Amino acid sequence: MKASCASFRADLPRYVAGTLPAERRESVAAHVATCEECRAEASEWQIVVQAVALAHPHETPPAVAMPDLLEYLHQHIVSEHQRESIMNAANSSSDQNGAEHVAAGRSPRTFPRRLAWGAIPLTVVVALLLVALFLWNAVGGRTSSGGRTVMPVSCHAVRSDAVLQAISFDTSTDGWAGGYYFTNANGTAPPPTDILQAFTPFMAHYTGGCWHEVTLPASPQCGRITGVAALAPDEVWATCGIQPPVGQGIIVDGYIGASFLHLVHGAWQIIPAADGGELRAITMRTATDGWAVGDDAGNSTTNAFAALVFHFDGTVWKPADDPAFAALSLYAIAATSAQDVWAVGTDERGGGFDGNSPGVVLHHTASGWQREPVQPTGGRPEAIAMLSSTQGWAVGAISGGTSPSGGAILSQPGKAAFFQRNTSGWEATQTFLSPDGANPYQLKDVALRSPANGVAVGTGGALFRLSVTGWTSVPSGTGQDLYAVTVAPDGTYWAAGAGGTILSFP
Amino acid sequence: MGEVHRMNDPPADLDDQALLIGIVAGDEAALEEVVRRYHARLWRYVSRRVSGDLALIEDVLQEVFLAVWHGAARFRGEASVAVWIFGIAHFQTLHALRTRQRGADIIEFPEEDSAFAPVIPSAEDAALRRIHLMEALGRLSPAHREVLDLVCLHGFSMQETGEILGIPPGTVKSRLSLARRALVAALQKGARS
Repeated sequence: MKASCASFRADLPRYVAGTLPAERRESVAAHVATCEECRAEASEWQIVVQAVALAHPHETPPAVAMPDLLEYLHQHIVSEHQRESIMNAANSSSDQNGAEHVAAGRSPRTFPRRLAWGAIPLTVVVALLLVALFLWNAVGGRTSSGGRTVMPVSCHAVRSDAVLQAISFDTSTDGWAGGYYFTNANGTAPPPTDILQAFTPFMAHYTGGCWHEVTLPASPQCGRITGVAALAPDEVWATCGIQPPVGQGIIVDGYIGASFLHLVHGAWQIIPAADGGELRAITMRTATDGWAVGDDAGNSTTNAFAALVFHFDGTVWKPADDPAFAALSLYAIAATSAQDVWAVGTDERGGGFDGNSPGVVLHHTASGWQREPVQPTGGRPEAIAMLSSTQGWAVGAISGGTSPSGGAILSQPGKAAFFQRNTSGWEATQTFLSPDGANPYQLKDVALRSPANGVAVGTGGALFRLSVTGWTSVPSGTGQDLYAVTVAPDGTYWAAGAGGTILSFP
Repeated sequence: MGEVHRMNDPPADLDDQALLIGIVAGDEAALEEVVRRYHARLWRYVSRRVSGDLALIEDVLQEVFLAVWHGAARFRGEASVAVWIFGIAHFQTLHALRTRQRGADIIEFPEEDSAFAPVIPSAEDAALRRIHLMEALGRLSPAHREVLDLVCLHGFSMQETGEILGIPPGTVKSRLSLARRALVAALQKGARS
């Protein structure tokens, strides 16, 4: 038996039974065709599968079985509801868990359940849990994410002044994180002026052990890495910008232009994309279908914004144009198919980044780009992850007001917000105040494994996990701003942010 | 930001997870849809475990779907919804069998060193291949039959089967291997007799 047979042997029973997933079937068939030993074993499995199929021929449920079961379940739920209504009347405990459920994005519970806990005041339970959490962190100093350990990467060569804004994995042991660090000609940290000279793009590479800095080509067209999409160990796309991240408190007066960075066959290439503006995000659905978005930084005369949208067809990045892009600044993009593409950003009709710019979601289908409104007013999605055309989340913030006037006007959002699509657009269905209740709280990125398993990250080390009950804040173990999160093919989440922070957790 | 977000789960499971989210929100229609999707598969699975006892199958399935209704909030998305529900069915079936036995004869699944229950002398018409196979399958321990069913009938991988049964994937592999060798050996023996 050849060593390479081991992985195929495990699939032989399902291959013979015809239940092996289609994407695996071809490779097993090809192997069996060339491997005599596996072919012999497959023949034996045919005997087994035949025996199993013949063993119990009369196993179809009676016609009344399912209706009876549904009726039983319905009656059970109704009686449960009645019991709990009686208990509710006796115990008028309030429900609070730190998260605000906003508006109608979450359907009302038809049958409130499991209120046996009503015998114990909920506030007492919450208080005990908080005390337990405090003691756990104080004693062990460990951090957890939904009961799991969050592991800061300890064996890496990522400089501590790096600000990582994007992360992407093409395999479980091949990941890329990009961003920038401040520097000047002397290599020392500059004052936060003269920004155009101060950025140096930064890229780190993970190959299964540690993260290591990689050398990028020096170019005035790439001040910082804003988005990364890894396709294969020897093919990576990234977007470059030259201005500081939105909301970082630094505004520059001029723009050099947007560009792509492409690693192919071991060499990095700079591909200029636009004379002005900046690209902020990239997604590569396949090697021949990619999207990148940003904005044109505003017309120098009218200050009117327009979104930059590029599509890659396998050969060249082509600028897309659509009336829906008018006045928009886009921050993130996601695609589930060639005709199901999503982008999020803000409408900068008011002049740009004043904190009151309405948030928007753009949806690209076979009929073109459609603009979808975001509620409530002040809601600003900054990232989006979609699993299908109907399942996904956008994350960002809901503005808490505007910053002091004069000079640059900064975004000053209030609460971290999770947006879900409904029939009229996108609506914040969960919002969270910052832990201290005073500082702005923004979500910067989101990644989903499934509708009930996701991670969102944001400012101040914000880390949220999605379960069937919704989003819950969990400790990340860092106070650094986290700007990017992704899920590797093995299901591991990786997050990156300021201070050269890289986290991984299951 | 905005990079490739890969899915680990097939689209069907994404739909299943959306249904669980509905169940957590108290949507009875979502539970009904889960019942419609899984009833026939679970019926077949449980039926084999309880030797076709109709009343027991119905009892087990009632408990399985009530557990889904009450426990959806505990689903963490680490395995597929199908694996989670079959895991519930596995343990509800064990519980039902133990209850039926009233503790006097608790079902214990033997370990992989005994794929066969004590060998019963073969029937006189041993030349018939099909009968031999049925006999051989019937002599497999319940644990080995269950692994065979989950992999060969229901299409679960070894990893998923291990998660359903609460055993390591290596144990699933060894049970499968022993069951295959036992069935093939029985067939060859029948052919010689």
